[in-house]
Amino acid sequence: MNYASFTAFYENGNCGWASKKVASVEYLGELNNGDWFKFTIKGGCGINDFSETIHRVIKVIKKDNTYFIDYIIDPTYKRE
Amino acid sequence: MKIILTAFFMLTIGLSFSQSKKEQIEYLKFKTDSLTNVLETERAKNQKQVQELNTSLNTAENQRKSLANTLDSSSKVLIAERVNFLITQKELNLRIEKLKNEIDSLRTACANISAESFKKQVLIDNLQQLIKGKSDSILLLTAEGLKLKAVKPFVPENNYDGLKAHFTNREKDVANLKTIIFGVYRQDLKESLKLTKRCSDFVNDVTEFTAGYPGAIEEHTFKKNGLSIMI
Repeated sequence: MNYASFTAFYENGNCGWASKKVASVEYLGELNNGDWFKFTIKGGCGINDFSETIHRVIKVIKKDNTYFIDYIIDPTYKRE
Repeated sequence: MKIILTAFFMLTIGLSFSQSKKEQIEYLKFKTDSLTNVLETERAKNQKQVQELNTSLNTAENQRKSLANTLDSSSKVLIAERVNFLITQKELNLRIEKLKNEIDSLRTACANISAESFKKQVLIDNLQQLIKGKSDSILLLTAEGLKLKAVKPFVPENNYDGLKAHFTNREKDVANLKTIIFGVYRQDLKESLKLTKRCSDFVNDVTEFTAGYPGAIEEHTFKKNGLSIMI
C-alpha cells in the first residue's frame, strides 16, 4: 500500500467514502501458493454512513517473512 | 657247805632273778598296755580314715554315675544330632543335585534363547533393512508427490466461482495474519501489507491511479477494468 490507502479501491462511487469499516473477514483457504480472504466492507459518502456494502477477495502471499497482497477480485461479479 | 653256799647263792640269785622277772613282767605289762593304747589309737585313726575314704569313694562313685549319665545323655543327643545331620546332609545333597539339574536346564534354555535371540536379531536386521528400503521408497514417493503437488496446475484467479472449488486447508489458523490485515486496514500498525508488483500494476491499471492521488473509482469501473485486465 505504498501508493494509495488500503481501502481506496474498495470504495464505491466517486464521492469517496467518509465512513468505512470492515464488517467481516472470512478465511477461504489456500490456493495457488497463497492464503485467500473474503472481506465484507461497509461504508458510505456521509459520516456514519454504512449503507453501502462491497465484497473483496484478496490473495495474500508470504515472501521472505513478509506478507504481500498478490491479487484482488470482486466475488460478486458475474461475467457477462 | 659248798653246797649250802651254792644253794644260798642260788637262792639269792633265784630270788633276785624272781624279783627281776616280776619287774620285767610289770614293765612288759605296762608296755603291752601302751602298745594296746597306741594300737587302739591307730585303729581309730585308721577307721576314721577308712570312713573318710569311703565317703570320698561314695562321692566319687556318685560323680562317676552322674558323669556316666551325662555322657550317656550326651551320647544319645550326639547320636540324634548325627542322625539329623546325616538326614539334613542327604536332603542338602538332593537339593544340590536338583539345583545342579536346574542350572543345567537354565544353561540349556539360555543357550536356546541366545540362539533364538540371534535368529530374531538377524530377522530384525533384515526387517530394518526392508523398512529402510521401504522408507527410502516412501521418501522417494513423497518427493514425487511434492513435485506433483508443486506442478499442479495454476487455477485461474479472475473467476471467483472457479476458485471456490479449489480452496484447501480451510481450517488453517490464520489469526495472526488476520490481525496484521486488520492492523494495516486501520493504519494502526507500523508495518504495511505491501502489494506485489503484479497486484500493484493491477491496482494502478484498474484505478487509473496517478502517483500521489488517493484514487477512488466506481465499483462498476473497478469490476470492469479489473476483470478485463487480469484475464
